Amino acid sequence: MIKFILFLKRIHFVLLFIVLEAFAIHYYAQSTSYTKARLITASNYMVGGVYSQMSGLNSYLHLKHENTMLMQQIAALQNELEGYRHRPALPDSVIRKDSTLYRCLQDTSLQQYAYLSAEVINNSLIRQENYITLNRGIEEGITPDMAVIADGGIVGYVIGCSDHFSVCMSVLNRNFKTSGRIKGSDFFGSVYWDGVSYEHVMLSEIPKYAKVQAGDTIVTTSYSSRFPPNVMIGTVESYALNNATYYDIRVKLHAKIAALNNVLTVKYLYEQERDGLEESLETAPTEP
Amino acid sequence: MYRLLEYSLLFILLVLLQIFVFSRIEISVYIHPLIYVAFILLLPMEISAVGLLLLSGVMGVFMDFFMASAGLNTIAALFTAFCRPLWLLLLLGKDEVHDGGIPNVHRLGQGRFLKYISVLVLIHSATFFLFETLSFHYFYITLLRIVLSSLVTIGLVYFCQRFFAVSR
Repeated sequence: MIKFILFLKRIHFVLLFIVLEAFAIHYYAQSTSYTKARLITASNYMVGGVYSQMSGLNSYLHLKHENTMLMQQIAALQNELEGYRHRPALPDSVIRKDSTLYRCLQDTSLQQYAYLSAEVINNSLIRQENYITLNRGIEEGITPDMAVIADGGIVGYVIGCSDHFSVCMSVLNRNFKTSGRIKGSDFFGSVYWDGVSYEHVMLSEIPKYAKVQAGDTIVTTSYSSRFPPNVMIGTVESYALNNATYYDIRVKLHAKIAALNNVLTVKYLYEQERDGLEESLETAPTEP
Repeated sequence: MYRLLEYSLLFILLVLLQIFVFSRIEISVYIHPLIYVAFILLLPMEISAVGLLLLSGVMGVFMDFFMASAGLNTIAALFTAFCRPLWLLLLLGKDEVHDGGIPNVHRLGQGRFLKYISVLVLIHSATFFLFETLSFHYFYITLLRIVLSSLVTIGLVYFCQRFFAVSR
């Protein structure tokens, strides 16, 4: 017995190491993106203010560029708006003023997506799981699963919020997944990050009989309940046939994740209804 | 307590540098210097193995909290702390380790100090990046990441050691 205790005393350092390391590995293995989002939210209470200050300085330095971009966007939107304003009044012979169809034309409640601007205050690039912190949270109406886009290209989606901050899964995260489509065709595949470059993502499972060319535009599909359809993901840079069955396509991201300043968060107004319906059908027993 | 103030300041300084500077400079996907490992390397040699393990664990937990890496830094820091006494024993021999002191250039000499930090930084980075990737699918990329990040970290730890030696 004494020998055993002496033995334990001799190896207590190794034992302690094994116990502590086992705890750490266990915690790491159990953790998900949501655990990490919670950690970021918690540490934001302590250092979020500093990040805000630092990004404030950064955005001050980019003000001029931002202004030009904004003016261009305003001009483009003005042009689009003009188009709607001068829509010719339809005569009664084409469409009756009291019909449902006419109300559909006027009804703004058909809006599917709501947009809110936000500022990026922390953004990591060099990890395998990168996250983006925004300066808006629950009080501004941000909810998990809202899409984040910048310059008309996808950036990520919200996974956790506190009162004034929210944490987003960046497209540069090994757990990020959405679907993408070659613009102008109906072929779609899954979009993910391979952890190699912060300017590229991969698009795989595009069947081999699809026509792919370098420079083709890749956009989001309507299968995602997070991203609105037809938002730019990027352009095809290179592609290779995998297993002689489908293409693996390297896509150059449209949004410049390394220089993010202002982004748009997008709420899909029918997300709950759609997800609820899809889930209820998945769990419902199928008729033989 | 032995140089409690100096080591507390070193701890705080390294945590701040890591979260506000070195985890934010985005030169390349391949370079992520983990400078906080300097704290584990510069603890005095007379510290007990258990003390070393516990202090390194605390550093790891702090980094995990701020980097939101859920255990990754703790795994790497603990393993480095586990290897440190063994590596010191191999490098210096039992007598010299027993004499104690801070393992810096004055104490070990330039060549041995570089050997000392290189091996441990490499161990730390290798553990960190292998556990971060958790796959051998992109093995060469991970390898490149380990080598480049280690090189930068070794340089940073060397500088850190010089300033720490001056401040005493």
